[in-house]
Amino acid sequence: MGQNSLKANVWDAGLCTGCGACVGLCPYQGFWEDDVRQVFSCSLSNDEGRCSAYCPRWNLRLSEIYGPPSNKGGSTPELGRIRGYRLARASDPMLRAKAQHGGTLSVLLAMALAQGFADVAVVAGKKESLAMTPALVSSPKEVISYAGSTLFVSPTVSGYHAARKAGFKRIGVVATPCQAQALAKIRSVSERFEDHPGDALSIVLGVFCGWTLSLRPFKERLKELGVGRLVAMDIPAGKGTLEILGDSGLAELPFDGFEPMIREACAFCLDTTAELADISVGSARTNEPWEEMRTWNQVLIRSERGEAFFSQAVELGVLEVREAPRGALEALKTAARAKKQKAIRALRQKTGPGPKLGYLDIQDPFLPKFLEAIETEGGSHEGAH
Amino acid sequence: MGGIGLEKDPWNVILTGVGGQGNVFASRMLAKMLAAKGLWVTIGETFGATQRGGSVMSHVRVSVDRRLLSPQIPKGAADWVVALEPLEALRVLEGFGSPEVRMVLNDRPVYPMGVIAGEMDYPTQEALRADLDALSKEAFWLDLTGIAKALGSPALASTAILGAFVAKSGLSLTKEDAFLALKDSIPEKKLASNLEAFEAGRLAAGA
Amino acid sequence: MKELIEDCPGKRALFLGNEAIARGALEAGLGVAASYPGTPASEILESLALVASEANLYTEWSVNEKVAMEVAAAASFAGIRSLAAMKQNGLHVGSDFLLHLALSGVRAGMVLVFAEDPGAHSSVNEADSRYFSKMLELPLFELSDVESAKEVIKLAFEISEAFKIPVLVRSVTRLSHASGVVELGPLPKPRRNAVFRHEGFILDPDLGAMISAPVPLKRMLLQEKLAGLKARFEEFPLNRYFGPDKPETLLVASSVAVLYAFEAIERLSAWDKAGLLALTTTYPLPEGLLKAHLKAPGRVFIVEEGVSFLEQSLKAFVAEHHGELGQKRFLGKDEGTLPGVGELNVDVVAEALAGALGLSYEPVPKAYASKAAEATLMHAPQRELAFCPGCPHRASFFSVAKALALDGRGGFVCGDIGCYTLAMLPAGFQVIKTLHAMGSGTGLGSGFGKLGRFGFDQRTLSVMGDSTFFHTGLPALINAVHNRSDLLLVILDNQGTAMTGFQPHPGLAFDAEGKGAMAVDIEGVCLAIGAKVFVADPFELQETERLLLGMMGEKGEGVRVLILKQPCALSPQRKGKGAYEVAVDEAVCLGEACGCNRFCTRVFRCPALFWDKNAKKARVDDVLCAGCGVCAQICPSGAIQKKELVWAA
Repeated sequence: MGQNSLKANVWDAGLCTGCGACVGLCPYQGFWEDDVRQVFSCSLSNDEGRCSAYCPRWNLRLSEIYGPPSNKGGSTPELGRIRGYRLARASDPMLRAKAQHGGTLSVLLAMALAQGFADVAVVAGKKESLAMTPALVSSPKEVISYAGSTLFVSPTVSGYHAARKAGFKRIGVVATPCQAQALAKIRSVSERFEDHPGDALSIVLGVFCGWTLSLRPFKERLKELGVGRLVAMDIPAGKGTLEILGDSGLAELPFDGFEPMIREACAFCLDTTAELADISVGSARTNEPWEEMRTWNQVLIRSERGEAFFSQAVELGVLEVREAPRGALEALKTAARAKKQKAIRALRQKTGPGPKLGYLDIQDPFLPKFLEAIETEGGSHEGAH
Repeated sequence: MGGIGLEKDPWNVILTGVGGQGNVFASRMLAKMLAAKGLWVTIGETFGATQRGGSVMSHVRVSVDRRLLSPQIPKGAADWVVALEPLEALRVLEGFGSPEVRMVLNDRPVYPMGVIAGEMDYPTQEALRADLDALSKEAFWLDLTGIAKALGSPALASTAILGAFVAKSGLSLTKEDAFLALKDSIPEKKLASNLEAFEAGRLAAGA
Repeated sequence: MKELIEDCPGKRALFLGNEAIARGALEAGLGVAASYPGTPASEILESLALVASEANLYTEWSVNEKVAMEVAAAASFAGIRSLAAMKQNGLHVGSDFLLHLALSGVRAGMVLVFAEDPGAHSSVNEADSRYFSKMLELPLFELSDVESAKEVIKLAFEISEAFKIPVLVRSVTRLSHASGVVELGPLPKPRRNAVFRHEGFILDPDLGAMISAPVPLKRMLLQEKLAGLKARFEEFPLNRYFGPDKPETLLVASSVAVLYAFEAIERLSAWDKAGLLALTTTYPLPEGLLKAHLKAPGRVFIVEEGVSFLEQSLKAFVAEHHGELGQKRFLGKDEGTLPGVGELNVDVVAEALAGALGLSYEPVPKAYASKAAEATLMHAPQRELAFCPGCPHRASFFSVAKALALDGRGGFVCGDIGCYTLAMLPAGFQVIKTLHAMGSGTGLGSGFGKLGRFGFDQRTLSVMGDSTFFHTGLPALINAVHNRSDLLLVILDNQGTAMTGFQPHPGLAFDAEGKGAMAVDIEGVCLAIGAKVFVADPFELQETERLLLGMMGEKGEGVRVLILKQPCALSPQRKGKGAYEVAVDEAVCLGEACGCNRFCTRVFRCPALFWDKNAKKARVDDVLCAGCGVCAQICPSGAIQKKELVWAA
């Protein structure tokens, strides 16, 4: 498995999430706008190549990235490990205003740096012309300038590589589900490499993600809409639209007919809630009024470290917490299951008949159980991981 | 023949090397020395790839009489091959060699791009010597780049090899002839070192 | 080149073919010479420019070959003998002017030398342009050997002036770049007084306006000149015959094929059976001479390179005079006795002739030939062409290749003519996907850039050098700007016509003779045309790549120009003066353990960077390294290190 088969089976096959796991390791591929591209052909074809070893869309063994089933904290096939589920928001209303939603992530990140959970944090930064690029943040004060959500992919994992190269030993990462998977894969293969590339990962703060937009078709659409340069985007709950605020107007795009603008790889994604993070954060989409909910985040606490970390934020008073409304977790599960089912269907369709299933390693002993749990309507809550 | 020791008429000499080694310069210098002795000389060469690492050769043809001669030596008709780079000698033999050909070789390889890039192999000197011995009457190997470096610049190998060739082939050409051939074609400050290289090549070849 | 203007009749000098041509022109009393550099023609003007002041000449590197012809023609109109020199392509570039010049005629002798390149040693075509002579009704001389070349040029001037017609002279690589011994003739010291007379009647060749109209009358005059030339060529001293009075087989040859045919007969010891008619004047043909030699032989073997120009003419001639000459069997290119493509040489002709005469030709013992072929195959790795160490093009194309790949829209480069043509090979990362004439890359780019309405979304780049920009690139660029074509033009400005030996061009502040000249600013010209222009140093890889990606553009964005400025590594300003001392730090280079898969040597391919097979690490060859420091930017481990060097002013 070398770069050329990664190109054929992942990049050119529409499976690449743009997480950046294969970027910045060598001079043979690069990231531009929102895609990884082969720049020069690398003739190496051994199994030691980091590009394929790290890629979450190549030979992914769920059992390896999720690790052995833990007896602390429930593990669900839809949402992964859950040690706790809360609604949270930044205590500081100014910060909330800047952060589009509840600002929980900014608070947690600033705290991670301030309290020494991480020496540096990798976040998605904006580049000119809508494209995203990873940014390294080492001061809690800088965190707020990276707040706000985006619908474009950032090669964030390449920022982790850059931080390691720069000598950081404790690195925090704000990761989407696919990026969290990549980081988990790096951890799972870490022993294979002399320099143990997973060792520097100190905390992963996950963000929920349903899909991302593909940059070029979106830009074309933006031009047609005539709203000028993009200022902000949001998905108001329950409306089924994307709000686009440009410097010369506001437009609302209905999700119907949205498909061509969504990144192809997102159709094959099995994760909505960044299951492999220490803590995952998303906007609160419950059945309560949106104007109230838009200032809150849903938080899934997943690991022991995540739990300790979250508690500290609450103790320090930087986060306000409340219990989630009844049925909220169930609703989240339902949505996550639906996405997984859709992704599995898409993978079956893509791979065709036979045992192959896209990027999932079919030798993985956990895979049949996982498939059964997801594909059986209303399946077991205690599933594969 | 011609009072200078031409063994044959026309007498055919191929100078070969890699672009940038001074092959064109050496062939002109040889031809000038011979023309100054009243001989009719032609040089056939191709420019173009000369500065881009390509194989280069110059064909020098010498005759006592004025006659129509192709500037390119016919197949198998080279009497001498003078190679600034040993691998190039082998390439020349494929087209122009014969069991009668004799050679003067600089032993310093210039690696082709594919070898530099680690994709191809350059033959070992033993293998190359075996090939060249099998394909020629005589092959004289000399460390002319070494001699040239000792005189201040590896580029002087092109003049040194001429000295060596003159000695080996028995042409009655001296340092004075070299001086006459060079004096108008190179800057004065380079004249002395070139003449020294010519003489050093002659001595190295046993003159 | 002192001998070029040595007035020492009878002295012998060793001249390059192109120098012999220059000397011939000088012996003919040349006053003005103009040219555009191109292999294998460049040394004609180069050597004349060197002696320009001593010989009281005006020489120039013109912006292109058409203008070179025009500059030379003006001198002729004003009574000064002139020469225009170019490679084969140039005749095609200037043919529009020549078409009209044939009709207007000339006054003082004007000779147009075009040096062709059979075998395409340094061309991307194998043009045989002799048909222009028939097409334009102009006399054609073909040079066969260095020694006689000088004489033919002198005669060409005399005939041009006598008939007031421009004379075409064809050389080829094997003549222009061969050297031979030439006997010097006297050098005249003409009194030159340039005056253009135009007060007379339009049909007055000496006093009328120099105009191609009235066309029918001017064509009649031209055809009268041709008839006169035909007669004159009967006595032309360099149409020569060798061999028996009545050979069975007559070889008819022109150009350097004369030498191949002569030596082929000699090597086969076939002078008893075969004769050789060596023609210099191949249009119009000397009919009396032909008749005299064509009567006896039953077989006519035409030996020529290029197309079957002479063969077709002879066939037509024999058909026309069939009664007198009888039936002939023709051998040549048409029925395959000689190959249709590539260069000829003694062996090709000897083999063909041996076949025709029923002889055998075995120049090398078979056992030797197979042994040599095997040894070469086993032990002699090919030398691939590469950009020189320190060449700015490698850096430029490295960035272009990266930007095209990252952009990912199937972008490509329309190539052009210069050293940078090598970018169609691995040396330049194979980014060039079209390659035609000078300036054509941008013309093609202009066309590709208008295909958006048909769904075309591939990014189109064109490249051209600084000299090509002025030559024919400029009209293509103007076309692209005016028509709002979506094109990114990258001008590889290495400050000279590097490929052919640093001849100046209009962008530089000096001329062919080394005197001060007006430098035309490329950036200023592009801005004035209305293109968006950026300038960068190609040695700054990141910045160049950033600019390229940013300029890759969207549909409807129009023309963008990126000028990548860095002098050629062999230019006088850079040669021997590396900016950096570059070395591989062995402690940092991880070699094969790196995972970079030998990126620096395998992909970047600078001849000065090599892979040390024993140490399994990269190394810098300090003899070859030009010190550009670019490779220090590409090593993922940072093992290639550069130290700035300071040169005294």
